Amino acid sequence: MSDRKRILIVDDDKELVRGLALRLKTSGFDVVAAPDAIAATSVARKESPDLILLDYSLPGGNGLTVLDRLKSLMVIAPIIVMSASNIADLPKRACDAGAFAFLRKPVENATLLETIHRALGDTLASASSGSSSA
Amino acid sequence: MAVHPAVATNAGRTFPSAATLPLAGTGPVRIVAIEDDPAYVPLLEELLRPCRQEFRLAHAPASEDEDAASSECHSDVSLLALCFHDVSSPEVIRRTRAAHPGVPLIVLVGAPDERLAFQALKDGAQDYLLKSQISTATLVRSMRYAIERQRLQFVTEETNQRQLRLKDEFLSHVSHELRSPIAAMHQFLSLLLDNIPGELNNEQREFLEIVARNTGELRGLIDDLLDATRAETGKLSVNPACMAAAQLVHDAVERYLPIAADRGIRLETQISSNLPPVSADPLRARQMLSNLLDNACKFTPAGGSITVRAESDTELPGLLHFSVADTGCGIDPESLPHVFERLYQGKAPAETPRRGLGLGLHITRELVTRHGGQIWVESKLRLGTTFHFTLQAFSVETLLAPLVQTAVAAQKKDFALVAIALAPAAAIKRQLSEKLLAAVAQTLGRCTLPDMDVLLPRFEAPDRSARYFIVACANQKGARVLTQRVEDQLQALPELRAEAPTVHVSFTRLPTPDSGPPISGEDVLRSLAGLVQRRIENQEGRTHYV
Repeated sequence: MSDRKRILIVDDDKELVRGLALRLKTSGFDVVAAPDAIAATSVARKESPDLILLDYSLPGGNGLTVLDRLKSLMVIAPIIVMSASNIADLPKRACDAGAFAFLRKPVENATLLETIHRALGDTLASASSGSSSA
Repeated sequence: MAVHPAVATNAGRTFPSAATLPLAGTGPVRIVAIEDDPAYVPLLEELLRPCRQEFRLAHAPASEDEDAASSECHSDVSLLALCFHDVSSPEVIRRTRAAHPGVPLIVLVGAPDERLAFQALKDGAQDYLLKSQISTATLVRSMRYAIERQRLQFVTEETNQRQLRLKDEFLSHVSHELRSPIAAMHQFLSLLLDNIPGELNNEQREFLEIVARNTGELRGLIDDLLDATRAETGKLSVNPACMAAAQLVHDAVERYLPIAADRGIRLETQISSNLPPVSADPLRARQMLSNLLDNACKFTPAGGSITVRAESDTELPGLLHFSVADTGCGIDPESLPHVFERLYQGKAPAETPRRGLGLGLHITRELVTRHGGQIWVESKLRLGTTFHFTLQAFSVETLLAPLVQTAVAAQKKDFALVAIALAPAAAIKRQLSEKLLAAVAQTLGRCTLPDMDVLLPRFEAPDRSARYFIVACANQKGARVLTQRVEDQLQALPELRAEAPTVHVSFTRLPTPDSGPPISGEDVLRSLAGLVQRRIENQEGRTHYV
């Protein structure tokens, strides 16, 4: 069994997914993808990812609906909601709905990877960087 | 269409719909007469007698109490008699308009006071009548005119509001559509620059770096466009946190060092030692300084210098004073008052290839203002320009003040302070506790709900160095969400689970002061800490609600 963590990318922008998947693979993750809201739940159940990157604007339902559905299906993987939208209260709504974090696209790779590591429970690694902001 | 600036500042205020206003000719019209001299009321009644089917008169004293006045009478038009010696007429008009919002106002003035009447129109009255010339006909005409004029004002306001909203929605949509392709470009550029598909030669790398820089610039322009729209619709928000002033300056300057060096400009910082921490939104504060640095770089010739300073304000101890001084071309005195205006474009030197949108300084001013600071500029032609701004020093009281004020103002009964304290098991080393604290602080940082609560810095009880408190200030709903989140997060962190910390959550209702000194944030925290500490000593269970 591989100890590489598996990340599910839910996004309908195929090119973006391709680039993001390559970046994550290079950083040591396994990657699976789902292009819409319906596929998101089925892939999440089949592949049991360790973490989910969820786009907000999806065909077949927005990201927060998907988030709700995943939570009700007892998917425990932390979910990071991403969006290029500037809806002012989206970060708050995402976090209220149980997202681990909200990231606005385009995301810097360093920020993305740092958030992923934090979400995967790598708290000791991030604790030293976080203590200054506490 | 250009939007009147007054509309922008009124965003969020609700105006009565034009449809609810009476139209001239559809009665009966309810009139309220506001004046100190009750003897005038019979005269008005007499004047209106011929048309009492259409107009109904009620009398209200020129009350100091706006709430009482507005709740008593619901009227369609107000008549306000001004005395000719009344020097405070703007104040009387303001009070009347506040007491009867949306009700058209006609002032009645004595004969020699037409100047006063004209001023009254400027202060917000819809029409005026000279007492000497008042008759049934003039009174009725004036009331119909005032009602109609007010209605048209509402229609205009409504239209402006709608247009502003449409513009906001349009720009939001456009920005999303513009950002998505930029996100893809950014992703693939970074893959190429990191040599992931293969090694780049030097020229390829250089060209791609140019593409990356321009992509970043485009992204910045889109963000500026959005920020300017948000400022206009009152949606530009800042979330101040505790920051080291030096760090703030270094973060912003670091990014401009290569740019300045590239243009042959010396970029220096002068930061006073022992500066207090500053209360600023980290991203927004960097944006403010970056905009000023960007501006300085644009207008400073090769061989010039830019100096960024941070110091305590000598006159106002609660403020930190930042400045960005350049030795550039300077701003001519006529342009100086306009530099912070939206879309203002300075006369850029000939060698500046891009003029930009003219939004940077405008956004900077909006951001500084929303931080509760001030911004100003001084400049000498051909010698240089210095932009100054102030930010508040960070203190618990500053952070609590707006919340306390809102809570007191709204007399919210469900306002609560939430304190979360971790009591690590006795044997655990301080080192580990620091990490644990940081992890919880991070958790809480993500939990912070805009508008609902605020995360305060950790609070260390003076006599118990091993105990830590992280305190958040929230309303009851915010507090519940916060507590649940902390619980969830702690469950999810194996390191924390292993350490088996005790989490104590306390809700303390903030006392509303009827009299005496105002609430001090530090005092509240101190008493709260005592409360939590007593709970910790009990060591019962994981979570307590006090």
